Amino acid sequence: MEILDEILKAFDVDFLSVEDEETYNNIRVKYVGKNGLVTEALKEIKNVAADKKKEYGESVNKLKNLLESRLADLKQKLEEKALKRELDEMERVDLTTPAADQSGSLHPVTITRNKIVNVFKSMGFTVEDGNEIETEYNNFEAVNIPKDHPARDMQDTFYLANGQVLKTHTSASQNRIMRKYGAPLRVIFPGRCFRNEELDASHENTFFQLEGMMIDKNISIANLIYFMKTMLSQVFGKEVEVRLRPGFFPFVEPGFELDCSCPYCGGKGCNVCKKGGWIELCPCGMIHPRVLEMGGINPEEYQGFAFGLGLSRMAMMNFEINDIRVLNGGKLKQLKQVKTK
Amino acid sequence: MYISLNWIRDYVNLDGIDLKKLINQFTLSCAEVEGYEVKGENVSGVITARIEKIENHPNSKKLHLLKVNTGKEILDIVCGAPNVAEGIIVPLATIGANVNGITISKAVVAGYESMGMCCSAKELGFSDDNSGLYVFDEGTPIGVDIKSILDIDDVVFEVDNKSLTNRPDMWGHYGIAREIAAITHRELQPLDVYRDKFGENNLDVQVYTDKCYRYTSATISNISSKVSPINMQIRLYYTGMRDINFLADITNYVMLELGQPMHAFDNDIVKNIQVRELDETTKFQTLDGVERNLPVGTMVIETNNTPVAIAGVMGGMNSEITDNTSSVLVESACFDGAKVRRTALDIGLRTEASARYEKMLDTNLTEIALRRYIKLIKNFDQGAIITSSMADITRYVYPKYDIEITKEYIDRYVGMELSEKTILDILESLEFKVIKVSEGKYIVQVPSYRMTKDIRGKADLVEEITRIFGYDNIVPASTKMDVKPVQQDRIVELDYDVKYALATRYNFSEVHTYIWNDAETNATLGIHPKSVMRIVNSLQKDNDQIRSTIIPSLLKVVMDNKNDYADELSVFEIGRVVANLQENGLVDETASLGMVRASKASYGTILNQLKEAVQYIFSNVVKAKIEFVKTDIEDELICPVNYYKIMSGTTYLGYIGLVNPKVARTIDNKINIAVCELNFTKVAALDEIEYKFERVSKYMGTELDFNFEIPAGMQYSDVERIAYGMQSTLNYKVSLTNIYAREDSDIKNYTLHYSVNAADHTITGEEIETFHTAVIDNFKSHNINLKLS
Repeated sequence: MEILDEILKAFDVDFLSVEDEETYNNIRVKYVGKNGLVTEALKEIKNVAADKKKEYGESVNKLKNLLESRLADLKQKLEEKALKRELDEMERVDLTTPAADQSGSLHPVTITRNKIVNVFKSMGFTVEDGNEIETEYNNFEAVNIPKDHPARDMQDTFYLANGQVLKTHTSASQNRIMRKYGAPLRVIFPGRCFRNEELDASHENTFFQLEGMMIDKNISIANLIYFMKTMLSQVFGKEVEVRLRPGFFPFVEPGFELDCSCPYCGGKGCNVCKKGGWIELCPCGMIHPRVLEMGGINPEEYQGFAFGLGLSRMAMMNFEINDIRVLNGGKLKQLKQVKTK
Repeated sequence: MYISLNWIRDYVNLDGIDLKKLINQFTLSCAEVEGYEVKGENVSGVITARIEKIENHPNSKKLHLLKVNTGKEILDIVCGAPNVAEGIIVPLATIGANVNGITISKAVVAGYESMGMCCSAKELGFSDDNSGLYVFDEGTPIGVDIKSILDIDDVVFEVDNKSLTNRPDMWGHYGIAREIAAITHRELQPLDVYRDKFGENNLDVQVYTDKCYRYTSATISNISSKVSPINMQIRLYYTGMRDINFLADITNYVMLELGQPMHAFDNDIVKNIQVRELDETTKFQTLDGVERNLPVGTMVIETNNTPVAIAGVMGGMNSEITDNTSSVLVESACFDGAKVRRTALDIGLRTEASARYEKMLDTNLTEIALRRYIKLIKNFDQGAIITSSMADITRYVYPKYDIEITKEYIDRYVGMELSEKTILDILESLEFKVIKVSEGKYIVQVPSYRMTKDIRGKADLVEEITRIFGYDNIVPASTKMDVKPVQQDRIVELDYDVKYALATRYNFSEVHTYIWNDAETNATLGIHPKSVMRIVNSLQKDNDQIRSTIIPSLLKVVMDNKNDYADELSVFEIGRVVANLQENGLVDETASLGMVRASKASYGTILNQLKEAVQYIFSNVVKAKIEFVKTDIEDELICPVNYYKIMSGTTYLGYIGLVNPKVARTIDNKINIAVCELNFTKVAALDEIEYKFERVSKYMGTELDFNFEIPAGMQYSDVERIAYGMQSTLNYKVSLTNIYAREDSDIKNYTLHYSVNAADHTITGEEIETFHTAVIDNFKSHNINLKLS
């Protein structure tokens, strides 16, 4: 048994000299390795008297467990120490420096359009793509604006040499879409429109609208009000009120001007709503029976509502742009400000 | 159009009604009110007073010292008006009175004390006349508040004309009064019109055109009044007109009251009437003094075959009412709205009359207006005599609309149930006649002034019912629709995804440019992009060509921004272009995706960056296979030696290339510009690749590298085609890991990396050996050799 005591004493001495992984490994091999002192000591069992063999074996194992457990503790401490050193020496990275910016930007109208389009998609609407150049028929006649109708005065139209027009309103797509899908129908169609007028801070000859139609057997004015309120609340991200006023648009009957309680001041009155608490937001109405008929839909069977949003205007409100010329001006210092929100 | 509530009160009792609420209700139920003004609120404490004595002011040539009698006292007033005279009765603002918002106090004027101010009509706000003091009629009592004599107090609101486009009946006060009666549930008083006998003389009126629907007229003589009553003048002024003379004022008054334009000819000059369309261009001087060329077809009023008025637009100088006129021929006619509008546009003269005719007036109104006109003349000039019978010719009668409607239809359209009483009360308050046919079924007769173009069918009746019922009273309700998959258009889906990819991954900024070529840009760049369609009436004369390519528009953006972004600038747009016409002559409009990268980096770098973006779009967004096919072109805009067609199978989608250095230099000496234009309409029509799961071999394979010498002019796509052209029982994939451009020759060294394996076993050394040899032999057969190291 003496030999075991000596091993332990020697171990205590060596143990204190361990400084790093290398010296640690050396003593681990020296004592509990394959040919280490403890293993050697166990081999000595053959020289032990038969009646002492059991006791001897147990003592060696006890010693082995003791040494291994102390070595494990030591290893853990060494690792902790090494980790601490690594952390102490580790470079402190400054993440407050600006990130490299490889992103460009989407146009404010695209961002706004996407936001609105997503609201409509979530409500089961198809999104359609209309032409920018339309026939006179689609732009006017098909939406109940016959030749010599004073409504044609309201909009200064760009006419092309072949008699086609740059569409003056998204309503120019109504007829084609009704013919394409038939009834029932839920569809929106954003698009670029044109008016032959001089540019200033609030007038552009090229601008966007977003129009929608919902047609089925029982669509009513009550539905229109419900729908517009729900949709606008989604778009503005807060509950808004809507009110209808009579408005004259040849392609709807009855026709309305829809006012929305100002989402910016909650109706108290601010610059956006010109202190009135209401924003005149979109013309809408029940689709005129003649327009349904021209679109190949039987007005005795179906009825529906249509509405138009000024998409450029919504984008301006969205980003607080106060001059419409920013939108087509192509000045990146302005346009890049809105990124891809 | 301005509406005077005093005028409305002639026909509807507004007692006890909050006027602000009324105006708001009018906006919500009838037409948009743009604003209102409370007239006369700035004037108080002004009384009538007589100037008793006038002395010259010793310190001023203009000023006078007046003794003014208020009935109670004589006040000293200093006055600068030129028309002061002893004995005239004038408005006097005494100390403490308000005029134009200013409180009058004792003042010293050029050394003399003034105990108030004598006022002009303009100062009191009821006229523009500031030429001198307003002078009351002789015999006006003095010392009374002027408001007991002058109807200065009024509320005037402005209705947005645009919102009256379809409502000819609302272009006069009586029509507005009818609406107000309906929304306030009060009674509309009847018009006071002349109902007695006309004269004996037959008036010779001939109508030669169907565009004159009805012509009603009469002659009146022995008219001695020269000016209209002051309170009529005030109403005219408040509603946007000015007083002219007695006869003209009354024609205007009737127009503002009934919406029926009228014209008074001097009966000494105009004794007979012919209405016709001109068959030759004719010079004609209108009442505003302008000589105009009337084109063929213009509808005119003639006397003895000489034009005296342009029908529905304006009368002529040659038959103007003057101060000497004592007898008139009055016209109250209904003309075709489209015809009048055409004429007004042709000669560039829109008038109050033409604006009303355009709306399609009621033919019944001509006679009512004539009778109202005569009534007013006789009210204010008892001596006037109607000398002719009423000449009345009708050439066109609007079709009558009797509309069948059911309560079920109304309820369905509105989305809630309305009581029969509500429906009937509203329609009747608007003077629609309702005949109940059976339970819930009615025939509605439309009043003549609503059927000229506005009310045609059931939906129109629903509008009448709901607007008066109040849209606010309709309870919002959700729709019930079947659940069905929603179809979406692929081009719409791709549009946003492509934009998002370009903006978020490749530093592109989206811009919007115009659909026409910008002449100035193209001149600067020295390019002549094709255009197959022209705008005929553009306000910007030179920019009248519809673009066939989007790239020049984007180069303009580069030019406009190069100073702000000197190192790198990338923009894109998905816009429309017209490169061709269809067989039927209509434009073939397509969507075009244009991308431009301008940079100080080498042209190889930016071209490759742009290619990467394009490749990404096709691999990850569009999901279609494309090829870049090098092509030689002759082009002023694109560099002839670095131009690739972008193909998907046999479909040409667009191109990518460098901008011709000649053009790039006009923008900036130091930058290179790479561009890509894709026909986005065609891109959206491509079939999407369906990616299929491919089993990954679980057996060990091997990796092999080869270094080949690629002859000059050969592209990687050729090399790749050769590599995959080899037959082998093993699976292999080839990738390009290195390109080495040699300095000593045009030959390039490509390092090709092969990953090789077999589907069902671990490949053997022998197999590798065979494969290795096969690769080399395959390339050798295309005259491509291993690089000997």
